[in-house]
Amino acid sequence: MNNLVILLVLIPFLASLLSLLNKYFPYLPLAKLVSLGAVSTSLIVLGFLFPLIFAGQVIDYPLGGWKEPVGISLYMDGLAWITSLIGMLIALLALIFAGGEEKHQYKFYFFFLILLGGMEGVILTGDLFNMFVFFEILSIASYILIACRGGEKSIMASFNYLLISSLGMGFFLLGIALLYQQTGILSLREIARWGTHIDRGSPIFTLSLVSLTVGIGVKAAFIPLHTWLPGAHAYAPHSVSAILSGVMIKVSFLAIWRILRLFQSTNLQHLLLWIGAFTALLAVIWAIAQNDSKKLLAYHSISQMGFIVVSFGAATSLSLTASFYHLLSHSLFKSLLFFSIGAVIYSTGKRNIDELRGLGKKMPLVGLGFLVGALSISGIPPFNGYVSKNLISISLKEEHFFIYFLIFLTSVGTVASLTKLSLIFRGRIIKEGSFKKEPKNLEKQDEKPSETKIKNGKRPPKEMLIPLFILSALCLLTGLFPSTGAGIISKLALGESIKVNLSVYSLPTLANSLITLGLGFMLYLLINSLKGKKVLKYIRNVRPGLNGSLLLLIVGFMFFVFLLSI
Amino acid sequence: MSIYLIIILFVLGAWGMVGKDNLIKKVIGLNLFNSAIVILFIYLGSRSGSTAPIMEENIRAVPVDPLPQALMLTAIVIGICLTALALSLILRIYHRHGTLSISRIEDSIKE
Repeated sequence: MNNLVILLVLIPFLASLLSLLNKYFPYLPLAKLVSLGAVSTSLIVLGFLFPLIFAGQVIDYPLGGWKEPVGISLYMDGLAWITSLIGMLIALLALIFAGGEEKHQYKFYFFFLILLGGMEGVILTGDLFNMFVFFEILSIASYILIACRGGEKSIMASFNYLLISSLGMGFFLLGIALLYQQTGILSLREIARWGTHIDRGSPIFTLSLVSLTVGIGVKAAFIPLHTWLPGAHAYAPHSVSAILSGVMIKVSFLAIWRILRLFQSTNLQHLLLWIGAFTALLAVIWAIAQNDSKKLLAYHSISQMGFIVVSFGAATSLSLTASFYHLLSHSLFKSLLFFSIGAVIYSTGKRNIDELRGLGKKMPLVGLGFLVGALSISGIPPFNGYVSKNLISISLKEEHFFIYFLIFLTSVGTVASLTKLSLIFRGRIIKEGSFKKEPKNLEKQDEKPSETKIKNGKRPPKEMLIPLFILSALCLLTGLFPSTGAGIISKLALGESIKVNLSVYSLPTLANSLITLGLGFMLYLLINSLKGKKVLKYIRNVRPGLNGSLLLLIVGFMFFVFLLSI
Repeated sequence: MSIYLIIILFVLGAWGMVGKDNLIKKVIGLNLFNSAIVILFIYLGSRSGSTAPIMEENIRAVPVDPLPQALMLTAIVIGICLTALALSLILRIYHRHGTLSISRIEDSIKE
């Protein structure tokens, strides 16, 4: 049974080799079938492992039979199991979606499978250097997938991501070097076991921990390190955006989770509380300012990562459960949103919010999927975002009131920006109303017809609607049964059941979400005014170029070191 | 002494990535940065001994730590892959924009 763990890493890599055979059978959809088969097989393997994991067992697989201080060991605990499950599930849906998107070459599926293999490797590995290697496999595959459609923005986004993330990985390697010099071992668990002998206060230990965190933090997109994400996630193919946003940043965050929990670095964890709060708030401001629909969603990914990081930083067992719950909900609803916006862009060929109007009537099913996603991300009952955001609020409210307030503001901003994005489907009526108020000298595209036409014969195919349906159902399901969900998560992720009675659907929390909704709409009206639009345009143009991004990374690193050393 | 050289190489690489306008020079900066870390690993491993880590009879001296060397082979290979990918992306960028200057490219694709 234990040997099944290695299959999770092997299956995608072997299948990727198999998919290359498609070159010799150009008329068969071989690569597509192979990748669908590989992902389904992985899901079945995960199903077989479930009883063991649920019994609280940690499955250990020493690679090549070499035990841990010498060899590398893969190990799977509950945390790894859930993340693999959600990763593979979204990968399956993304593959189905990609089948409807356009005729992808077999190379697309090849790199997609490599990405999945790297992802499983990062989740399962118990060795720091091995983690670095799998991170690089994952990253190289994702650079290529982002650039694979070949638009100038995609290529530039991919290049930016490559440079920023390689610099980050350089820091990660530096962290490994310093840690190895201190301990002489690379295995995470062994370091944790001998951790009592390490001088935790020593500056070199702090430096190495900060380097590791910053290195992975680039991929998990905290605020000074997030600069690559909007471009990369916005200009990738839609199915790839969904998996990058839904899974890859989560996997990177999981690595940080592992490292910080094992080394019990409370200082750094406390620092993440503040960084997460500012990440959530700042990213949502930029999200409101965006006009590009996919960029808006990409900034939301950063903002929602902020929620996850905040609640991880609070470090109580309730807040850790909330963090992981939100991680799962975000995977579901963000890929749902990316899929529905992807279907819109596919059938209209446009991606600017100003050019898309009133599509709800023409694509009711896509509109419905978007609605579920939007309600989830804004935290409206009965969807999963409501549950996890409330869990986060409950866990923050008592001890960290200021951060709770920042998070509340972020929720308001989320509602406002999603209202803006939903113009795509609502359209006409409100638009006409707001046009009357605007003076003529404002530059605007009022020549545009108020309803966007669908390009001939390009209705979203069935393959695009199936993932939307499944994800909507999952969002609803995880929202309706909060206590069961939270119970399972805390048991799997922390190995203990949380004792607090979860009253998520109670009157005060419902009132709270009503207030958020109301304030969100007010903010939306505010930004729709003339002044608001000017401010938004100003904010939109404040963004670092490549040089600025790299500089931010280095400055961010120094800032972290400075904060921890005082 | 060598630790200072490593730090200089490290800073030089970082400066090359941040400060240079030419895309290829940025990639060279990345390579310098990676080399600094590779040399750091080797340097840290070399402090435990003085001879090559080869098993032979009648060895008196303490060998250096072989693990960092093995790790760095992998890191170097990954670095080469990254460089190759970066250069091929730069080629595509150059074909489209006719320049390698990042500031000019960013000006021309501003939406």
